[in-house]
Amino acid sequence: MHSGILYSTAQALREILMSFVGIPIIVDIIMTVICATILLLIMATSALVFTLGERKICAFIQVRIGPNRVGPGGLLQSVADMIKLMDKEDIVPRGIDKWLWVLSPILLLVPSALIYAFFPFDDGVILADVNVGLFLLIAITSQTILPFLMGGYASNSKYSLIGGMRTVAQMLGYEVPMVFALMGIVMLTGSLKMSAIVEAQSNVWFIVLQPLAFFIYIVTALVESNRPPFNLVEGESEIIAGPFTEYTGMRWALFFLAEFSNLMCIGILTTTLFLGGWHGPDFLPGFAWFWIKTFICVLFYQWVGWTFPRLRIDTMLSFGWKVLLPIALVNVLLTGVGIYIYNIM
Amino acid sequence: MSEMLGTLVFYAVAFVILATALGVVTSKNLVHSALLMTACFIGVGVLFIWLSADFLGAMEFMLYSGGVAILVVMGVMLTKRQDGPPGNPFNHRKITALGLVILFVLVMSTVIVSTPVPSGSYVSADTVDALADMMLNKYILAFEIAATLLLAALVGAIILAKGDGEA
Repeated sequence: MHSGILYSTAQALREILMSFVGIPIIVDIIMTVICATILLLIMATSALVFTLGERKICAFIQVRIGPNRVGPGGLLQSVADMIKLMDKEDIVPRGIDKWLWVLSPILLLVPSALIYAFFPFDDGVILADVNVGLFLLIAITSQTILPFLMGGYASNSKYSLIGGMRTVAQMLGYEVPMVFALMGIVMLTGSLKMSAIVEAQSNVWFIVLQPLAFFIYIVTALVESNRPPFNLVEGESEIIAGPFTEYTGMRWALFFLAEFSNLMCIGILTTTLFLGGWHGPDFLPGFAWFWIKTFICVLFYQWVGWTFPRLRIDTMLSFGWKVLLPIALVNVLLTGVGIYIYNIM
Repeated sequence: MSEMLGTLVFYAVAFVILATALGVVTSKNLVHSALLMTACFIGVGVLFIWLSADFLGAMEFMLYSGGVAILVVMGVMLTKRQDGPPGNPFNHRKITALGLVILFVLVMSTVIVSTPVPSGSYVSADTVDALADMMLNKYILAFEIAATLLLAALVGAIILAKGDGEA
């Protein structure tokens, strides 16, 4: 059976609820609501922490000080920013497609929040451990394309539309090598279940067995989450802010909440798929290892983002189709041959 | 209790599917139609998952929704020549449409009636293994032929789009 602090806490909570309520399905519903609330809180807090972290790290890399006025060492800067954003005037431009324009930032948050259900945070601590976990996760992540395009189209602005088109081109284009890269992991595990993928890494992490897939995943993850140097969707120097050019105040903040949530998601996914998930030496509990690795990954992604200059859209797309996709296919072939040789030995 | 919840979920999802499908046909705006179609596909995917065919459900999310993104791009690029919202091409061929609808309903109902329904039998918990076995062992030839055909279509499309000399 499962071990670990989080799992036993959840079990204890379930038993307490069971003795009070008595009907299993209502207990299930209450437990789901509690878990979903915790996940949403994690998501919202991560956005708050990462905005500050991003500015501080960016400043450190560019030999500046960064935000240092609000609170000790600028710690309260993101709180002040949030109050400012809520206070801003909500400008609704003329000539927009009202419904699509309003729905776009809201719908963008749905897939970002939904995929937290498929992350194994600790031994047995996963909200939805379905059989096709990894595949369903990628399928849900790919839904983030449409809200961007919706916003870009509905804003009735040239920059927004170009940004929306770029989103489709780059996200669909880089999804293909990502799926093929992750295929190597699925072949080694023999299952699409997230818990099984983590379980298969209890001895050797997949970063050792699948270095090529790890490289491809890092690049494609940066593209999929619109992080620099691949944030061509919102390339300020070319198309102002892409799909969010016409958004202000909290509507604009929702786009950024989704972006930072996605940043954490790619950190979590890198940890889960390549760095052994919650596995680690015994002196710390599983979820602690999980978060340590996740934050190292997020730091790494931010470091990459602030180190490399932004690419050009055509070179980037041809890199995805002409370089990454063949490498990913070769990786699938190599993995297959490797598994065959390992089995006959 | 859980059975009641299940029925409730089914009717809610079915309502979403039908309402969005109706919206696809009646909307005057091509982009709205395409986006409503995504909602419809997502509803169908949820229905698949509700029926424990989780692989098919995820496939529905991934391929159809992604496909619709391309469709929207095409719709915007092909129809937005002048200002104003892109229009859905409507026409007045009502009698032809009625005939085709009747034909479609007849064919579909014949297929549904003539298909034996395996009621109450065992449903595999892991559909991926069975699907993989079928596609890569039993029907490998058909699978490979379809793959080759799609590859040829892809290359052909690129050459057509780029024109002579450029490709």
